[in-house]
Amino acid sequence: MIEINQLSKKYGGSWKASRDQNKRDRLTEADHRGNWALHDVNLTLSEGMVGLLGPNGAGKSTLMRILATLAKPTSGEAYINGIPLHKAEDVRKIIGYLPQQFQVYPQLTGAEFLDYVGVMKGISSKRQRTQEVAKLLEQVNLQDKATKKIRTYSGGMKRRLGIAQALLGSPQVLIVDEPTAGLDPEERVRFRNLLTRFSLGRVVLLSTHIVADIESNCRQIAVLDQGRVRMSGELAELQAWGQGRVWEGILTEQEYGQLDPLSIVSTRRTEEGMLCKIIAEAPVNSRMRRVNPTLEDGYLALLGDGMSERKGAAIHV
Amino acid sequence: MYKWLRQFRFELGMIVHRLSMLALPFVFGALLLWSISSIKPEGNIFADSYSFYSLLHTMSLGIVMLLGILTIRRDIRRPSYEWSAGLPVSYGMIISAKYAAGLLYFTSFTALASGIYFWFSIQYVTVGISIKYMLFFTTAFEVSYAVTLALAMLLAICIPNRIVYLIGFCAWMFGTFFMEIFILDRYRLDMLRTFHLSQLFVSSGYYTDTWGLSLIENELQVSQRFVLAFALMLLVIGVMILQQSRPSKHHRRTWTLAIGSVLLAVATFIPYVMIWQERYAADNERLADPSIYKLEDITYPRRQEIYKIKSYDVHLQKLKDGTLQAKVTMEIPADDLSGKGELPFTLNRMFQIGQVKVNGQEVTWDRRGEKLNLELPQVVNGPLTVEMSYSGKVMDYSRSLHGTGRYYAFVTDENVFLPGYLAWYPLPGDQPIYLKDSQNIELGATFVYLGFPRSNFTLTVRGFEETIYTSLKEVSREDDQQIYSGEVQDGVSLFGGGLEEQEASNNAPLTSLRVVYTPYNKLWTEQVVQKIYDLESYFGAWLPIDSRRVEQLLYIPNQSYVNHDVENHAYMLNYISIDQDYMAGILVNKMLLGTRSGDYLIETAQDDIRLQLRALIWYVYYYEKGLLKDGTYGYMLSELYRNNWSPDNNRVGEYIRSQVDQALEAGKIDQVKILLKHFYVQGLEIPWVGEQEALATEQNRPIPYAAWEEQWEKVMGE
Repeated sequence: MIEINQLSKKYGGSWKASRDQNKRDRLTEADHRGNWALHDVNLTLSEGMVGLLGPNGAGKSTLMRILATLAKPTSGEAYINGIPLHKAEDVRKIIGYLPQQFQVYPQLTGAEFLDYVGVMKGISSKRQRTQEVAKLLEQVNLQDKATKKIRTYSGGMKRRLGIAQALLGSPQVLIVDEPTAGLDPEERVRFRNLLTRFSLGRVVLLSTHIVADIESNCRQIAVLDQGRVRMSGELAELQAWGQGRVWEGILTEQEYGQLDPLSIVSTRRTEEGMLCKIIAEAPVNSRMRRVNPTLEDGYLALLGDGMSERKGAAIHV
Repeated sequence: MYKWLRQFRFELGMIVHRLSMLALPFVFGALLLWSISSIKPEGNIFADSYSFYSLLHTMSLGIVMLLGILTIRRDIRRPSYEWSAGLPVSYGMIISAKYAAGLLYFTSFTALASGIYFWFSIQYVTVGISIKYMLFFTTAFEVSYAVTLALAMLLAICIPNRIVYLIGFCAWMFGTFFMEIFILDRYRLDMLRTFHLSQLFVSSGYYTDTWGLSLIENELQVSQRFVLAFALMLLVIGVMILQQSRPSKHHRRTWTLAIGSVLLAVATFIPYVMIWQERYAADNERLADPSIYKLEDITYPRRQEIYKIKSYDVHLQKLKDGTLQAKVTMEIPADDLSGKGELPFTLNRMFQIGQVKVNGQEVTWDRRGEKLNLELPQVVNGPLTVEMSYSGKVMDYSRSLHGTGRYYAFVTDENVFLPGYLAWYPLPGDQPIYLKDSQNIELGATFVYLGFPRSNFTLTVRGFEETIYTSLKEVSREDDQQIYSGEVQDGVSLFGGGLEEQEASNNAPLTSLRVVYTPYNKLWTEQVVQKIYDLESYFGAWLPIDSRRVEQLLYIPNQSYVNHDVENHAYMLNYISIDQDYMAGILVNKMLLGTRSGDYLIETAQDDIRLQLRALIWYVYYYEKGLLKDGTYGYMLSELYRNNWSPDNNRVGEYIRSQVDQALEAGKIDQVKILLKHFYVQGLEIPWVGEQEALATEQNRPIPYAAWEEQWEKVMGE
């Protein structure tokens, strides 16, 4: 279980920012929100797969890095399976972590790399390590490439190797930051299933800005926006945010032109005009009809509350 | 430990997996091999290797700097390798494993350098000596690599940007060549030598074998201890910086370690500072001493006014703590001193006087620096017997314009260097042992002729670990005691420690030459001695050579020794030239013809043709050996050719050479030799008139050109 109490993270002067591994994101956050990357975050994440949703710059990676003991919170505390984060050495023993960007020594083979990580994770038995590495390579569909140099791997393969290293040693908590980026649809599905299987009896915290990634696998979700938790709970709760606010219908080009672009969920040109799905308190014209919200609609509706404050921020759907 | 070993293996694999990195030690070894194999067998393997090694080693530090940066930038502080920071391993473990792997890799450079040196060294000296000097290189290489690698890693930790490569390059350049040329040499900040990244110095690190290393052994040890502590400090600080970047429950421990490492570095730096403080203090004290004459007040050349000392009987004992204890008895005739109530001496300030007796009666004295004034109970009216006992530790170091300073004198462990011109025994009168300018203490002997009385000298030395060599004749040598005796006129210098000697060879034609040299100069010495014997055989066949003129050849491995010429009956060398013919020629010239120190007093060749006659003797040699070809001539013959500086305005030299040429062409070489022998037996030595009046009148007999013409007619006219 992960328990986060009033966690905040503020980035100070430029020298501190430059120390940061995700400097670009942080500076953006800092520029937009007075240096607060996370502000008073309270969350309780229990066993199973947990999705962490939020637009770019919401503070997802910052939160994940703090939970992975790579960055210190400015204030607040978090506990991973009851271990406070300031006991970082103890926390690292029970977590697996896959960061957003993942590179690995190109001169090693996949098996060598995982063997090395296995030792670092404290698996001292060579036999046990070999077995576990072989199993993981199979799970991530890299068994055929096990003895090939990593430099020959594609981006997707490296990503799969990344998840394998995070899973190695069967950590009690798995923290994966946008793990499906760069994967093809088939691999994505395989990936989600792998994580779902792994999440039995464990906490898997998955950050993403792709709603589809969590739609079918996560029991819980938390939405971060501007460093704050906008909501946390079950999928249905997020979906419910769009209830009564999602409209679909044909708009004239003039009507379309007057729409707030941030309120548009989807658009398709038809012979009769623009077929649009929007999130709004009221329809634009009488031809629009209210539709049931999807999870994505709920997510966008939730974020839409703060959209006007965040001009220019992109929403990926 | 298991994790550390795996990490170490991993890091080492990362280094050696590249063919270029794997090949580098061998390229380095090949360069060393190529350099060292170019040293001529008669060269000094240690000194010559040092110059090659220092350059190549300093260059290799550039690779260390690069690898140190690369090893950090491979995965530390790289966003895409952040997964590794999430592993349950400490930065201390990672950094130490990286460091150990890097150092082990560069140890292969050290091993190759040491092995190559050892192999070459054992061709010339014993295994024991070879190991000693090999270990010097081994330690120097390893310490340089240790600190440079630590610095490079810290730079990469502190500067995640790629500009660190440029900064690393600058640090390498600054810490080696720039520092040596501009900081150490130009500004004489010798104390900062310990911060030089390379333990070997390209231009200012002249180390001779034997004394060269022994003298700096302590400084080297203290300095290297500090450098290693400093390297440790750099590493711990690097770990601390990394630890700060992520949460840890060990922050306090890391800080404590970092502070501890800083304290350790400071603690090891203190003894190093104290060594230099002591050295500077001795120099500063002398600079402030009004009893030392200023260089600007000295006129050149000036012979000091002295009184006669008929005999010296010196008993010198080295105590276990290194203190020298001396008892000197001097017989002084009354001649020059009649009516005087004071007796001035010069004795080096390193010695504290215990007691002075004149004619058995204890007297008081006044002392300022080297000046010692005995207050006689009554005016001198007869011969005096002065007994003096004194003791002191000998270590006379002075800063120099360039390099590592100068050792004017020392007695440490088995190493002994006590030049007579430093007044280690009482010299008559007030003599400038040291001279000073605003910044330096110079040796008086460099600028003025010190006055050494012509005396009978008996020297008994005891308690020295190794044989002591002097310019006197050795009378006896027992386990712990050596007795030397003889007539002196140039002072007496003592040398010892790490030197080897060779008695006269059975095939010595005339002179029973005893040779003392450093182990690495053995071959050179043997070859030069053989050349000397060859020359002696040649000249001995037609000239009656005085075999007593030079009885010893002493090589003094200290460039601070200023009197590289004949001292009494020993030729002192403080350098060796690789041109053995040149060296043998100079030595035989001295044996054959004696000094020419008074040559500048010859106003015209018309009045005195001794210089030309000296040259003619060599001219005949060159002729007979077929060395006079194509107008080239040896360095001994300049007086027979036209030159701007000679007092030979009438070109007498050229004229008599043409006379001799004609005679030689006519096959009259025997007549030429008879002619030259005629003048040789008269004496061709040209001493400095006035330095020893009696000697001068005896030996200083000018030969006018007219005498040559007259003798020419007699011999060639027959």
